[in-house]
Amino acid sequence: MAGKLSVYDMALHGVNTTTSPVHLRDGELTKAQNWQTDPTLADGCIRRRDGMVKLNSSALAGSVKGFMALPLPSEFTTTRVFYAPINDGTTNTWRRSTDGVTWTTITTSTLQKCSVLTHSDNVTNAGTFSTSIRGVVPLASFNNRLYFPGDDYNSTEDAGTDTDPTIYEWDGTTATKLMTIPQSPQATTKCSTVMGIVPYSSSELLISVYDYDATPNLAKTRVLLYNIVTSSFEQLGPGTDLRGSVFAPYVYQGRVWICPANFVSGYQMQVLWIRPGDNTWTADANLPAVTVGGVSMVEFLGDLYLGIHSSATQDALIRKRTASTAAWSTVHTSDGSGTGQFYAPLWVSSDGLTILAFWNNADGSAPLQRVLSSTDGTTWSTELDVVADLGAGNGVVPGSPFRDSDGSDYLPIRNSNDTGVIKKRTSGGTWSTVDTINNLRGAMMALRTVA
Amino acid sequence: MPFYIAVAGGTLYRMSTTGTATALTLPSGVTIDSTRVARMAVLDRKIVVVNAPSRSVWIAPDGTVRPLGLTPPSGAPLLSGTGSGTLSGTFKARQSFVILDANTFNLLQESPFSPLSAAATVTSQYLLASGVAISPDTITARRLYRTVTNGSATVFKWADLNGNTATALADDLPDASLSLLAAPTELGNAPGMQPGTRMTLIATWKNRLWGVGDKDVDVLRRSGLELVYAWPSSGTYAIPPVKADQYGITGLIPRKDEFGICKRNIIWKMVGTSPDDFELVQVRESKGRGCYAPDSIVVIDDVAYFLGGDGVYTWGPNGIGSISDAKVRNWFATDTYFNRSRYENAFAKYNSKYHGYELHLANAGDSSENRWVFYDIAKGTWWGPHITDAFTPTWASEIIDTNGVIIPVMGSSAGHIWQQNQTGFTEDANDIALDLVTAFHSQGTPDIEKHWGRLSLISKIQAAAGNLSIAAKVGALDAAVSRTLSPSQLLGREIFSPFGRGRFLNLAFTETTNAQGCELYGYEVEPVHELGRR
Repeated sequence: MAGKLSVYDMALHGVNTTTSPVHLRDGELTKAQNWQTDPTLADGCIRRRDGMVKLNSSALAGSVKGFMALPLPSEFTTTRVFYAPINDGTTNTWRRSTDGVTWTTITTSTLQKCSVLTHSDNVTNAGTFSTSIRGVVPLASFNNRLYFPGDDYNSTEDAGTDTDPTIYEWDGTTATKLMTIPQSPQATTKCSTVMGIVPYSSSELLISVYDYDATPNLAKTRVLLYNIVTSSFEQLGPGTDLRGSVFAPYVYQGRVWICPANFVSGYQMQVLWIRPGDNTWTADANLPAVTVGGVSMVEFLGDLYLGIHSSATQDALIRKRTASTAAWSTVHTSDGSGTGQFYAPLWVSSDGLTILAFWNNADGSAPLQRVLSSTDGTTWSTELDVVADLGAGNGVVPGSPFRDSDGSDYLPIRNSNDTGVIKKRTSGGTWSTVDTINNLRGAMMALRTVA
Repeated sequence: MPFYIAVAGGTLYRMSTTGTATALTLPSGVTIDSTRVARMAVLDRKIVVVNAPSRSVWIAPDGTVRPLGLTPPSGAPLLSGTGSGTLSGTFKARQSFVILDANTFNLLQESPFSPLSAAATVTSQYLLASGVAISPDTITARRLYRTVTNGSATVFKWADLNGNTATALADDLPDASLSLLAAPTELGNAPGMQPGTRMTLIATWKNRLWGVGDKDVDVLRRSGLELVYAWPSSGTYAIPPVKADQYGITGLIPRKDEFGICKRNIIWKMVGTSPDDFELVQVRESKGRGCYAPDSIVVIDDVAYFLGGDGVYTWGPNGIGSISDAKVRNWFATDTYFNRSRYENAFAKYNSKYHGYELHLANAGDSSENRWVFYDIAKGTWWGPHITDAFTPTWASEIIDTNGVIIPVMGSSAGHIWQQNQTGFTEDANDIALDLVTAFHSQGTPDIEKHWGRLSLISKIQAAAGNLSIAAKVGALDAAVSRTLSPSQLLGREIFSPFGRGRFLNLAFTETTNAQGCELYGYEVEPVHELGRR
């Protein structure tokens, strides 16, 4: 009887090299080089296997010996955009630059307005220069976000009903209000302004706020620890009634350090530190005289440096806390006299080998406003003559420096006549003007986002 | 957007989804041996690379490459009293080296501790730590720990001495302000974290890294919880039999709730969730079965696939067993097909589109892994051995494209990453040579001469006729090719004249048309008559 061989099940059997030729089933194969089944399009058939294409057109340096794909956002390539808020009463805009060379103005329609200084002008009631150096207070930028105080509130010095200051987050596209600063339980009025925002951990910000209390005519301050993940915050050291105003908390030796400025209260200011969770701040040292206060801190070569503003009777100073002795000493003294002198901001170059300080010596030796530098913290020299750019005067306002990833520093500076410049210091110590613009608010930061 | 890490020619690269590669800067003094495979693991968004680097490294999300382990402080700080402070009593201290994030002060890495210092007694003074060690690595601070007043040995975080220059710190931080938690307990270095040793194997399981060194090959090490840099000495497990062979641990299998530790002839597993309850258990029925190729291990749906000495095995919830013995045992248990002396170099990957395990092996007599076989998990069938004329595979892995699709890839000896599962049936202008051999058909009567009638071939119609060739053997098992057919792939169905007389019919299909498919639905031979008187 005639039979028939039908083989339509090769896909079901594949290769069998173990069974003897006599015992193989009809659909089994003894070799199937470059054949495959196709359960996605034609289950049951066998066909030529799919081809391959190169992922990288340019060959790597040799034989590939390891490879891994990561389903993580790549932060290898980031885009850095500089932002500098403008303290202009009519427009309230930001300067923006993608390269630090070409700057453009953007409006508040795309970015919430940064808090202007007029919310807390009364800080100057004591006849000091607080407004002029308020620009040194920093904004924060980390985790691909920029954090800044909003301008959408009324302080006791503004018209209308007082409201709480705000904190905003900017991701390059959207500005989101994160929180409002509640009134201090130790003050009779709402918080006047946010002084500084400093990163503390990958999820926390230190926010220093000024709680001017008109009734007893006292300047009060708080430092808040804000968790950007949980949107919760706590006041550091609530058991301490801090006086003055903290320009910028500083993290050193694993602790949070402050030295409030002393514009209103005429109080004996101290350098204090705390660890989150402590109930009170610990005093490390008194400042050399009553009525002076701290305006900037930085760590250099393991020691802590403090810039101090002057009073009518005490010149401005740079003080150093030597780590090996825990003792404070003066490493630079202003040669002017009376109020108006200050050393702020202090910062350290990217290589860690140079400490820099904006010095306003008010009426001392020329140039009256300059940037000092030192490589040992003891011997200081003038590195930038600010007067040459903007003229002399106590109204020459330094901003907060931004240390770029390429080792250069950017420093906004504004004069009392509202003219201003953004200076750039290369990693080699060469200064140049990269933007000339009126009404710089003083703060500056770069937002780094994943490209 | 996903990204990739590649190691080739002694260089560490990050690669974009479009294949743009950028060399990463290695830490000072670290080199990559271009002859060694680089094994990687991910923990806490940190990518760890071992075996190929002279010193294991980890890659931060921003591309910064750091040594996996920092050199420990060489000695303890010297304690004494200084100045006028608030501390009174006896103290001891340790130090470590740390790297803190420049912007957020987050702890990125910490070295093992120094020894505990000698005790110092102070009276209303600052406690001075002098002689604080300088790190040979790039660090951001030295972290000091001290005992509470009159404490014995338990230390608490005290202060950071920033930078890597100053060598002394005085402080009178009261006990109450010390960190509430005792110092970390999981610090420590593992093989490969210092020059002179290598970590050869690495895997991630239960939010810890697990590794094996090249000097103590029977010992498994684990890291601290979510810590790539901290490998406590308490996390050390000797895997029996110890010193029984030169290979030691040959593979690590991170399954969902069990962690396999392979030797060549046995498999152990770690169970538990934390150091408190981690327990080593021998995998049942694994005696005599083990893994020969660390890079052949692929876990698919909680089942591990790996190459043993005589075949491919699986280990999953249903136990351990061979998946190759039934049909292709002689692929792996003889020298006919593959170079068994290179089994330790075999590597594998998962092809998710076709739900298969792909194992790369060296062809018999060859010294590179220039063949691969495919195991169809759903059907339990084997395919191959496959070959490509475009390149010599040196590595297998997968990529995640911009749409999140996982695509298997091969690395080549020429430095390219080749994506599989691509349309076009071509590889850099090279054809994909087909070679298929059917069974010896006998119609169930191998002893009876038959007349084999006409072949009817059913195939998918292609754009061109192609060069499909069918070599037919009719006769005994040793019959020579008696006839060669050349079907056109333009027809879809083609009938050929009868084959003739013989006990068996065997067909061999070959096809080498570049950039064209070849798809067979099946074939028939009709009629088939048994011949002779019965």
